[in-house]
Amino acid sequence: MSHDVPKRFGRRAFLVRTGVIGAALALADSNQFPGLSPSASTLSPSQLAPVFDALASDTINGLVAFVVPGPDPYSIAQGVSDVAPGGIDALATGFMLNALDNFYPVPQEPLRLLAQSLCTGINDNLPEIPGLPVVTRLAEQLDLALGAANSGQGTFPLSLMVALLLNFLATLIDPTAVNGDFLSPFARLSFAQKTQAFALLEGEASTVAAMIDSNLSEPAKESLSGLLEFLGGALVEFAAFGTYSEFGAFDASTRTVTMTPVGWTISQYLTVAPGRRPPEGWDEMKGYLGGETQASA
Amino acid sequence: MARDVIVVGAGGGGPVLAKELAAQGLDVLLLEAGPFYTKPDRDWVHLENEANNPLTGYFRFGPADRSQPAWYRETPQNSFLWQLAGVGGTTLHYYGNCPRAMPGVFQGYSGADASAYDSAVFPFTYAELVPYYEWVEHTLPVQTAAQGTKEEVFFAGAATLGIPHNTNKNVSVPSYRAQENAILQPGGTAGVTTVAQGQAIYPHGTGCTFCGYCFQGCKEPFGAPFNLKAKRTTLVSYVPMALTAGAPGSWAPHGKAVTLVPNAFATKVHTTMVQGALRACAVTWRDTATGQFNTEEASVIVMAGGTTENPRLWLNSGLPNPNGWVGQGYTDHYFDWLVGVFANDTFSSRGVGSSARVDWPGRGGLEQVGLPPALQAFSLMFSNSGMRGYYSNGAGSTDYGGGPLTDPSWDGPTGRTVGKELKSMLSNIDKLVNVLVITDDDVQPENRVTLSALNADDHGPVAKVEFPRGTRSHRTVANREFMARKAGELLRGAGATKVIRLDWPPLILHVQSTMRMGVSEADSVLDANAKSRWVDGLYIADNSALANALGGPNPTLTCQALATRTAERISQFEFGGDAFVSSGSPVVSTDPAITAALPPELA
Repeated sequence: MSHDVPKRFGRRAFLVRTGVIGAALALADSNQFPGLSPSASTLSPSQLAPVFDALASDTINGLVAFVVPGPDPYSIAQGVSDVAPGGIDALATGFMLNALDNFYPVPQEPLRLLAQSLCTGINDNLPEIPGLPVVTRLAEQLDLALGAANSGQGTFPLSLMVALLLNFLATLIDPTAVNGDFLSPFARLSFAQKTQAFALLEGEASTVAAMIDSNLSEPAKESLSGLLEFLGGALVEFAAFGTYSEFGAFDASTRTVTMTPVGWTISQYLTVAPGRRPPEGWDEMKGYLGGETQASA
Repeated sequence: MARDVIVVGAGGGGPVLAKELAAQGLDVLLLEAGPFYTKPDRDWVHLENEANNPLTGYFRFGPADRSQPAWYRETPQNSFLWQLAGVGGTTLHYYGNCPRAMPGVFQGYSGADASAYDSAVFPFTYAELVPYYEWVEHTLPVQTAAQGTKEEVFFAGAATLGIPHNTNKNVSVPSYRAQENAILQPGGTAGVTTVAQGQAIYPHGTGCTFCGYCFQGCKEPFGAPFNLKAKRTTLVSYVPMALTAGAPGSWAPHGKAVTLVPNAFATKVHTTMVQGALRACAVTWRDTATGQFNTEEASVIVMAGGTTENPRLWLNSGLPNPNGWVGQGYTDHYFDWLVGVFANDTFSSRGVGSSARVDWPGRGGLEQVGLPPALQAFSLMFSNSGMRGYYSNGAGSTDYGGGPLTDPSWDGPTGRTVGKELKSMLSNIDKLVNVLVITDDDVQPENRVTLSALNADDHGPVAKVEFPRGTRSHRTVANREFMARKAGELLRGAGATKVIRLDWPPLILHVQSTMRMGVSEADSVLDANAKSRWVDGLYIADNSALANALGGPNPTLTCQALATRTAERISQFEFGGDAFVSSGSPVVSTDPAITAALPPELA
C-alpha cells in the first residue's frame, strides 16, 4: 500500500524522537541490555522493559531537576544548578515513578488512546530530525514490542507515557536533542528549552494532540488534549510536592523519618531526629485580635 | 425491614442531618464510601505525603486499602480536584473556617448593594437561616480564632486597606476579622508550650495546640477523648452524637443511634411509582473491601456524597434531569493565591491553617493560609499563566478571559515559580504569608459535572469535572481581579519585600451548587426544602444543594445549617415530627455525656 513507507518512517521517527531507540542503543553499548542486538529476531515485552524503565527514570530525572535544581548532573546539564540539594537529592524521581505507575488511576482507555496516538499517528509534517539513526531492524523490533503492548499483550506504565511525551516535545523544541548525554532527549534540553516544552504541553495541548495524531476523532481528541493539559500542570506540581515532602526520608514501618528530609532543610522548616515526627504543638499563641474572644451574633 | 432514612455520604453535611434525625428517634442508615478513622492519635501523622498525597495518602479519594489506587475523576483541564473519602469527608482536612454566607445571596435582600451579587439566589431569606446557623455554631462549637504571628502580620496589612475590624458574625461592609472557626480555643498549656511528638497534652492543655497540621488531620490535643479534639470535623462532633443518640443518659434520650457503614460506595438510588409519582425507595452500595453489592430500602433517601459525586450517582441511577441542571452550576470560588516574602519571622508553618480573613460583600474575600513545605511548594507551582518570565499561556490577553499579567500590586508577571525561583521563595517557609483570594463567583452552566465517556470504575462511569478556560462571567473575573489587587495591597501594607501572584487554575476545594436549590424550576434541581423537584422522598444535604457560591464565604457552615434545616423539614413533612430548632435547644458536641457514651471503638 502506498501508505506503508511513510507510516513506517513515521513510526521509526517516533521511536527516535521519544528516546526509545537512543536508550536501547545506549544500553546495548554498555552491555546493560544483553538481549538486544540488531541481529536479534524478536523482542519480548520483558526484554524491552529495561529500556522503558531506564528511559522513564532518566526523563523524570530531567523533570525533577528542572522543577527543583540542585548540584546533580541533570541540573548542571540544563544550565541551572544550585549548591543546595534539589529534587534529585530528595529522591523525587522515585516519588514520581511510584505515583505515576502504581497509584495514578488513569483508566486503560485514555492510556491506550495516548499510546496508540504516540505509536501510530506521528504526523509527517513535523520538523526533520538531523542524522536520523539508520537502525531499521532495531526500530522494527522495538516497534513490534510497543505494538504488542498497545494491543493488550502488555501494559504501558504511565511513567513511560509521560517520558515518551516529554521526549517527543523535546525534539520539537530542539531536534538535535535526539543525541547527547543521558538517555532522554528531554533531559538534554536547557532549562529555558524545558519551559518551552511545557509551554507547548499546557498552552497548546490540542495542537500537540493533533501533531501526535491528526486522525483522531473529535471526542477522542478532546479527551486526549484534556489529559495533556492536565499533565502539563500536574507533572511539575507533583515534582515540587514530592521534593519538599518527607518522601525521601520516610520509614514506612515506623511512619517516621530516618533523617531530616531534604525539602525540610532547604525550606528551613524543621530539624527532626531519626525515628521521630514533628511536634504536637508550638508556643505560638499571641492572643486575640482586639482582645475579642467571642463575636457577637 | 425498611429504614426510615438512608443518608449517602458522611462528609460535612450527611452526619449533620443524620444526627438531627436520629435525635428525633428515626432509624437512620449512614453510608460512607471511605474509611472510618477511629484512632486519630495512632493513625494520623504530621507528615504531608503520608497524609495528603492525593494518590497514596490516608486523606484521598480512594479505598481504605492504600495499596490500591485512588479513584479516578476526569478533569480535562489544568486543575486540581481535592476530594476526600472517609467519615468526616473534607472536614477532615479543612481549616474549620465557619463564616456565615453573605446576606446578599438570599431571596428578599434589599441592601444598597443588592445588584452586586449573583442573581441565582437562595429561595428563602437570610433571616430564615440564622436560627440554623446558631444551632450549628453551638453544636460544633464555632469560636473566635486565637492569633499567632502570621495573623498579626496579616492584620497589620488588612488595617492599611482602610476597612474596619468586624466583631460580628454577620457581614455588612468590607472588613477584616479573626476567623470564626470550628476549632476549640486553646486552654491551659495548649498554644503556649512546645510539645514533642507523642507527648500527651490533655488534660493540662485543651483545644488547639498551634501544631500547624489542620490539613493532615487534627489529633490534638494528643491524648484527648475522641469528641474533644480541637478541630470539629464531623468525625469528632456530629458522628459521635449520631452514634450515641438514645444511649442511657444520652444527650438525646428519645433518640435512636445511627447505623454507620463505612467503605460503602453507593452506586444506585432506586425509585418506584407511588400514586402516580416517582419516589426514591432504596440504595445499592458496593463494599469497597469485598466487592459485594448490598441494597436496603428506606422511606426517605438523602444524597450527601459531595458536589462531584452526587451528580455522578444521580446520572448513573438514571434519575430524571428534565432541565439539564443536574451537575451544572459548579462554583469553586475561582481561587487565586498571592505569596508575600517578609524579612522577619511569620511562622507561617505553625498554628491554625487559617485564622484571619477579609470579607468584601459583593466581591468575595481574602484568607490568610499557613502551610507545611510540600503543600507550600505545590501552591507555588500551581498556575494557569505558565512559568514566570518564560511563558504565560495567554494570560493578560483578552481571549484568556482573566486579568492582567502584571500590576503594581504584585512583582513581575503572574505564573508559577520554577527552578531557582521556587527554591528562593521557599528558602525559609517561616518568612512567608499566603493570601487566598476567594471570589464571589457566578453559577454558570458551563462549569459542571457530567459522566465521563471514556472512564468507568467498579462504581460506574466516573465524574468528569469541567471548568472550561476563558468562560467565567464578567462579574466573576472582575471580582477576582479586585480581590487579587486587595491581597497584593494587604501584603505590601504588611511589609512584604516581594509579592507574587500565581493565577491559580481551578483548585476545586470549595465546592458548591451542582445540585442547587433555586427560585426557578428552570435552573435548579431542588426546591426550597432541598427536596428533588422530580423525585419524591429524595433530598440533598451537602454543599451541592447550595444555591450559589454564598458570596465568597467558606461553604461548610452554611452547608451544615442548611442540612439542619433539611433534617427538620424531613422530620416534619415525611414523618410528622416537630420543628425542633424553633422549639428545642442544641447540645454542644463536647458534652461530657457524649464522651461517656462513646462506643468502644472510639473510647
